[in-house]
Amino acid sequence: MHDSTAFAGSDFGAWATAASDSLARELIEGSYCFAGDEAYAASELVAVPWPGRGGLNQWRDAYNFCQSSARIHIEQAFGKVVQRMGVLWRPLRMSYAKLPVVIQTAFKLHNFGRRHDSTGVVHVTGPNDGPYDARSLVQDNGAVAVAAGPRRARQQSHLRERMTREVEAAGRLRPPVRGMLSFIA
Amino acid sequence: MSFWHDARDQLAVNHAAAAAYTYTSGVLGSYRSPSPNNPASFRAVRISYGDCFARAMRMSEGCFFKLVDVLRPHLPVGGISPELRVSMGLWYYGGGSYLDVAAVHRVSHSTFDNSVWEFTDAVSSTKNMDITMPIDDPQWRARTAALFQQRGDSPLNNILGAFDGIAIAQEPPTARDVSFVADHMSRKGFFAINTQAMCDANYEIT
Repeated sequence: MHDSTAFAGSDFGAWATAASDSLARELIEGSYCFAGDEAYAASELVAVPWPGRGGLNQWRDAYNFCQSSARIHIEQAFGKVVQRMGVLWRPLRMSYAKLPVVIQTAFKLHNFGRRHDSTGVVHVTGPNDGPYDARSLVQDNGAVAVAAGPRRARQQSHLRERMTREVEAAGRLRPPVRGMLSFIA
Repeated sequence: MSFWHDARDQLAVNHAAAAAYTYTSGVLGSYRSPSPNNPASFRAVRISYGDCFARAMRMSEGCFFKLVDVLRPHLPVGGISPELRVSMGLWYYGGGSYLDVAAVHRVSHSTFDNSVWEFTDAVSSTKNMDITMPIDDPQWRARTAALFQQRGDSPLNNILGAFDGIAIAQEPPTARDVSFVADHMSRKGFFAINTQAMCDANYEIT
């Protein structure tokens, strides 16, 4: 199942796409938004990157960079959950109906650890303690490069344009990529 | 040098204590799984994990006891102690094998299984562990957006959350459970359940 299909089927996705109730309007007026990756459809509450790899103008590219620095958090959060909750290291072996509650519980335990573990360490087993497989079966499911196409071009999002202008106003370009040996030069 | 001796002595004491406990409880000599009526005490389990308790439980000891206190009202009364239920549940979610967990806690496999589900239910019914986003709270909005801006050193100050999907591997679902099994093959090439999640700048799922 594709990310955007699953998202549209979720409560939050339906709410954010419709953006019709008073809370959604309040958020839009406050210019708040949520950051997703390029698998999702743009809307007034969902900020997604500009599509296409090259050929973006420099401010759209800069916006993509700033927006991705927000998305890093969810990628890292997934990494932390999977690292901590070893039950996710292998295919979940239980009846289909039980899967959602188990996954939610894993997320809740992760949150509890984040909030109350004063050591701030994700305690995991050492390399010899368990059957941890580096080729973990749980993988990030996002970040498919989506080419600029007619469907993408039709997606109007004032939000994305406004945020791009904000980046431009702040004058923040994507930092230059330093080569691996740049410390020599 | 003396440090190592001390550590080893302590380890020997721990092992001896655990072994003595096991022995006097009369489990040795039986190849059957231990009686569910005679589970280990939490003290014995704690001793047997030694320094590795935090690693096994995936959280510090202080955090563990906090979790026990939070879940206590929602766990069944009587039978296995809340500490044991929580440690079994956490070790299962941490990736432990049911064989090992049941052996250390000296319960039968079915007791372990029930206990994990009771633990899961307790977590589900604990209100302040719910996955929530206080989206209608203006203070929360301002705080979260500011933290995103600060963490990313970003000019954008209006981001309330970042979301993404993750493919969590599952055993192939049965045709009895789902209408079309092939739908559940992910594009990564394994059977998976697509999970959408959103988090704040503190890596907490919201």
